Amino acid sequence: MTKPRVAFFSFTSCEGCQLVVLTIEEQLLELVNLIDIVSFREAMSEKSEEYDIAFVEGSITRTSEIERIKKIRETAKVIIALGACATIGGVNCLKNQFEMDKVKDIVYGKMAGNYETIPARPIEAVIKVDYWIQGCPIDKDEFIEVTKAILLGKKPRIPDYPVCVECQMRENVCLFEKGMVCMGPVTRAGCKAICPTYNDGCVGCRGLIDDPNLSSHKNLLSEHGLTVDEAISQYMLFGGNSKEKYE
Amino acid sequence: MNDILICKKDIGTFCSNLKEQFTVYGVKQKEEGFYVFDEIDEFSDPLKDYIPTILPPKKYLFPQQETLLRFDTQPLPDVKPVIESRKQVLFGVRPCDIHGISLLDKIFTADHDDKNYTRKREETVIIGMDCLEPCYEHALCASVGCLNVDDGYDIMMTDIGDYFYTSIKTSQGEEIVRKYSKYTGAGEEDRKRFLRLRNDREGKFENKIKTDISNLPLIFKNADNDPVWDELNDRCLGCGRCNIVCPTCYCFDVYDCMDLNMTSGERCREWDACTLKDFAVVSTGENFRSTRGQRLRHRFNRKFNYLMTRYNTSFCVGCGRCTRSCPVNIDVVETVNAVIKNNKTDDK
Repeated sequence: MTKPRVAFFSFTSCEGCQLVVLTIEEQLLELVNLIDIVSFREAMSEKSEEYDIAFVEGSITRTSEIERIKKIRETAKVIIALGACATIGGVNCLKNQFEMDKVKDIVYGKMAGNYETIPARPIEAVIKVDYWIQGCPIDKDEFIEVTKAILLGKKPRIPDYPVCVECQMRENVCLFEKGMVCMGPVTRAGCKAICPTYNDGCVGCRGLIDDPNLSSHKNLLSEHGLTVDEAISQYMLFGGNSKEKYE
Repeated sequence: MNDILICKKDIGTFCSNLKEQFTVYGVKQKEEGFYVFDEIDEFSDPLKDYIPTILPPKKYLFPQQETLLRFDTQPLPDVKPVIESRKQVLFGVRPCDIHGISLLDKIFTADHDDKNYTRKREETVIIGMDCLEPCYEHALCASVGCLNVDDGYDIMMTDIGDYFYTSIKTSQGEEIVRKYSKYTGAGEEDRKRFLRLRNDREGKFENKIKTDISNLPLIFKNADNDPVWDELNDRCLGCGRCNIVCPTCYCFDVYDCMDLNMTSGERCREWDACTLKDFAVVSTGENFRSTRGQRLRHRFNRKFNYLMTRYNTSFCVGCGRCTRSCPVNIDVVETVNAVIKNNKTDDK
């Protein structure tokens, strides 16, 4: 059997999710027995325009990126959105709260005229996506799970339950019981509740579960002292693209 | 063996002696006011005031995740069962959790022996710690008949001051006490003191459920359309915490995990929870319980109707963990009482 040709692509992002892929270390060696990595600028200099599977990191924030991602879609048989920027828009969507001209002025000052920008969006807003690996950054075990599932032709085992499940299985003390706030009850699990485990509230980087109880969660945030605006800003940090759901 | 006394200052030695033969799990304070069962190295102060641990000790018999079998497809298909088990002592298990384990014993041997459970259970010694005072406001043990426990443990200790008044239930319990602990026989005075303390506790544990619990299955059977489920539908986050912390929840999901060589792998199971959205989804995509209210109603029926009817005992053991852990304060006592109030049939 010929090994599928795999390419990694970067759009607007920090490329941290691709870095996570490189941290799988010894498993990476096993993985390259199964796949042929033909483009991966963070790891190698070679490039190829022929690939079967494309991992795409980053969100779409310029018109030129729309053309580029469409071209990738035409070539790849399978596209995987890699990380929060690509899957849900992520922190890049924070800028969507402002006028684009204002955003350019803030970032580029008097050079603003040289740049073009559009409201940030997940890649799914432009092309069809086959698989999603959530998180900021992604979880490396989930990357391996999804890759294996693609190679086996199976549906990957991605949770559609909240972070609370994993948090409670780890026997953490709930942050709400300690007077803190947390996006865990509405956020998709799969991160092994890493932030609450280290005493930091979940910020929702893996996006909302399919059927979150947003009104009850907002009440909970307000009972823990957050104003309406503060509660919304909890949702906006990573979820700016699905703003209509919670406003 | 007759009842004995174990001096509190000898408990540490008892525990460290047990480690010769067993892995010993006991209660540790994780953070102020929050306790967990964990492997204990030194048994310093025999905790007596701890409230129910975040997770019940069932995690040592039915862990969050466990491997059931390993398989290989090359050169020929081959499957080997995996049963991880070792001799262990659960030290300081409260009556509610002992009831919980006894119910799991029934469940995991009901249709067939679940070897991954029963093997662990056979290798487990349970040293109970009786309750003389209600541990916290969420406890409803007395209301569901789980304060008194007369089976399901090897040794039961009761704090009577400088000593633990200790009753031995099984030959295994007797063996380990003889082998690993210092003790003296309990005298008539000690026994009187023990009985007096046991007697004194009766009035302290309030009956919180507003009916005889034997009425609950019928009441719940008629409560499918109770407005309480609509109210809970709006409030419940569907986060699954009530399931995960429950001593009698035993549902699990089974999945296969291939190794990266793509030829071998393992089949695992992981705790599942009936309050989660995907729990009742079938392969066509249909969800038999698509709303949070329906799922919570199902959970309450499991505890107070379906399993209670089948086994003739409450499947809530009264530890109150679900109430304590619910982020939106869904209270098991309030909910059951609301259902009783709205659906009261003639008391028999």
